[in-house]
Amino acid sequence: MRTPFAALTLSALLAATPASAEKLTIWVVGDETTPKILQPAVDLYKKDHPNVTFEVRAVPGDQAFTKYLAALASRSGPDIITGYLSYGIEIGKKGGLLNLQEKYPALVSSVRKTANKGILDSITSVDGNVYALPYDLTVQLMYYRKDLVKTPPRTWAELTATLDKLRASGNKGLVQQWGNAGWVGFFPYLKQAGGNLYDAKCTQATINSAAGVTALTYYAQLYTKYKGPTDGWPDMEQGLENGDYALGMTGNWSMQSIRTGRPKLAGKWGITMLPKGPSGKSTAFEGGSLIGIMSYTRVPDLAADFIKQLYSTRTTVAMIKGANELGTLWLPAGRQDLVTQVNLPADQKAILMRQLSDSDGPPNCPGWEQSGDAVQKAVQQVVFNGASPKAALDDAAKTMNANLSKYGK
Amino acid sequence: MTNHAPARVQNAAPPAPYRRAHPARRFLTQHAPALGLTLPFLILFALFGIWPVLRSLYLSFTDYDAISTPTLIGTANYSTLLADPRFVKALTNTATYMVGTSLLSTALGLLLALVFGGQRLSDQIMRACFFLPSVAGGVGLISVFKWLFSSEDFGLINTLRQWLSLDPVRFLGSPMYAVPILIALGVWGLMGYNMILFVAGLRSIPGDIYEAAAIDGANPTQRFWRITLPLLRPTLLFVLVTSMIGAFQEFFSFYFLFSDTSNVGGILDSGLSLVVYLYDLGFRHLQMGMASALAWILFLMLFALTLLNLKLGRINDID
Repeated sequence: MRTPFAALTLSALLAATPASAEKLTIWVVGDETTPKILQPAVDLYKKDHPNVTFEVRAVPGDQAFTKYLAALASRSGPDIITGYLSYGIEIGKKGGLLNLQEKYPALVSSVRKTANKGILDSITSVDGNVYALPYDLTVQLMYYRKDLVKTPPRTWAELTATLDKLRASGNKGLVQQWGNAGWVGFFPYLKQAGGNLYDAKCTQATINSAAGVTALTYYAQLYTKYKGPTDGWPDMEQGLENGDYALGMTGNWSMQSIRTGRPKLAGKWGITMLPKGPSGKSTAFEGGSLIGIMSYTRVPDLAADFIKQLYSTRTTVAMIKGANELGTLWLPAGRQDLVTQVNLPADQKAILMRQLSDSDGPPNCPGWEQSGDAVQKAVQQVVFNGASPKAALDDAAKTMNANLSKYGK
Repeated sequence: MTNHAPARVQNAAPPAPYRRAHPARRFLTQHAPALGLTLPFLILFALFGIWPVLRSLYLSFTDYDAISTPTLIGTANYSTLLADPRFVKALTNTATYMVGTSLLSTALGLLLALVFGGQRLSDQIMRACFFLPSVAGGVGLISVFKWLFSSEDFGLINTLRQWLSLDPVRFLGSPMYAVPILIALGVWGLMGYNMILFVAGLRSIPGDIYEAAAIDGANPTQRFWRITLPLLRPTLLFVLVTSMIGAFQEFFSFYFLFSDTSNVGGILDSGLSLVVYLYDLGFRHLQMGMASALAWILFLMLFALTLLNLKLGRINDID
């Protein structure tokens, strides 16, 4: 009696878990739309690999890091994650993500050829390791009211001249949203002035260079002289719609949300590149997210194969189109050449592409994650407390250098 | 002499001296059934209640990034924190917030209870209105405050100022307004809850005491200071202690009003609280050891505050 029962149980177990079936669990940062953006990639992969099953789940941005850490601590959860740009080096160096450069060098080198350079640089550690690959990107743009600003400003001088005119006519001028009065907001001005946060090899902070001081002096006056709003995240779209502001700076997401959610602005608004600084560059800040494989996964090769497929033309185009149908603008950070597939009017698409070619992501230097607050403080000391830009940047540089030594070991 | 003792007893060995069972054994023997019934809870409590607390105490003496193995570093986390200007700023903000919120919400809660503590329908409606924010709190409430205090003209307060031909004020974009706005939000959410507690406290005071005082010629002010307030002392103490602890642990209003994608704490850390800083250290910078140390500093502060409150309550008792 015993043997037939055991055989029955064994066959039942085998039937329940077919040996060939594999599962990929993917957690994507964002709202409930984000898994839908990935869905075309999942569908295409399942078509070619019918035995693979997927579980794709959205993780709200403010909870993502906590949830990923909990998954790492328990060594269970997702096989693949998407996360903000800082996650790659931060989690990867500590052994939380697979070192793709070591384990899948061919994949990394193929993505290198097509990825957005700024994003790729941001997520490649100084020793050349890559713990995650670019997934999507966002970039700063300048938005303006066509009826209030006939010619959008192209240089710093033109920007302040435009603001003078606007304020003289009772308009409030410029509203900045993404990184308002903080390091993200200051970042493009620093680059446009020819400065940088660190030197090229991440050996020391260079934020307190002459270019840095020029940039901060100029940036601060947008708040002190031109009275830009200083709320953490002002409502730029509302400001443009009611005509309070004629100019606004934020990420590319507003191109879509203004079109779908601000009918009163139809025909009245446009985008332009950020104004050129003394260096002649219009550099914008780039953010976005990356995709990586958790170090504990039991299916690393399958995860890598799925990620490899993400960068194929067929999959990327399907994802862009899927996002277009959802009314979202999804810019593939791994296939900059395919950004042109996004659903935008030709003139806006041209400006977006030009801005993308002159944009940069956050630095990859050790200790930057711990130093961002010091740069933020320097900017705000000048804007709110009237501190000297040089002294404030010297303080920031001191903290950045201390963190370079501390975290660069 | 005839030995009248039964043979059985005569032959028996002398009785062993009486020995009390070990207290722990006695306890286990006496309470075995009850312990058996509560064991599932005790196991869960030890696992999810006691163990994390003890573990965080251990982690506070380590360098731990939540991924690698923790390494013991003694009291370095504590000394680093105590010398950290961001910690000092967070502590100042939290202390100011705690004092403002707990005192104002207690005073206003008592006032509301005195005014709307009756049984009339209008009193009940008013009590429901004032209690509503404490049940409908959370992110929705904070969003409303964000709109009320927006620096833009469409912010309600700035719209009202505009009607009065006053310039708009950067409520959320200026460091000086951060803590006062947080206090306003905290008081608004808490005073209704405190009011309900005070109403219950007021109803427990016997009416004949007031009648006797009135007969003796005590006026309403004297009755309040000499009867109501002393007899409300347990409620007052409870409200104060819980308000203080709640204020010290407040996270959401600080985080949602003053944090954005690139930093927490708002302009020059004007909206940084101890708990938000703990979150920042632990979950944005992976400094779990430091975050654990901050959690224990927070615990010690709250413990000291509670002891102080209880001590003050007892002093009054003796008086």
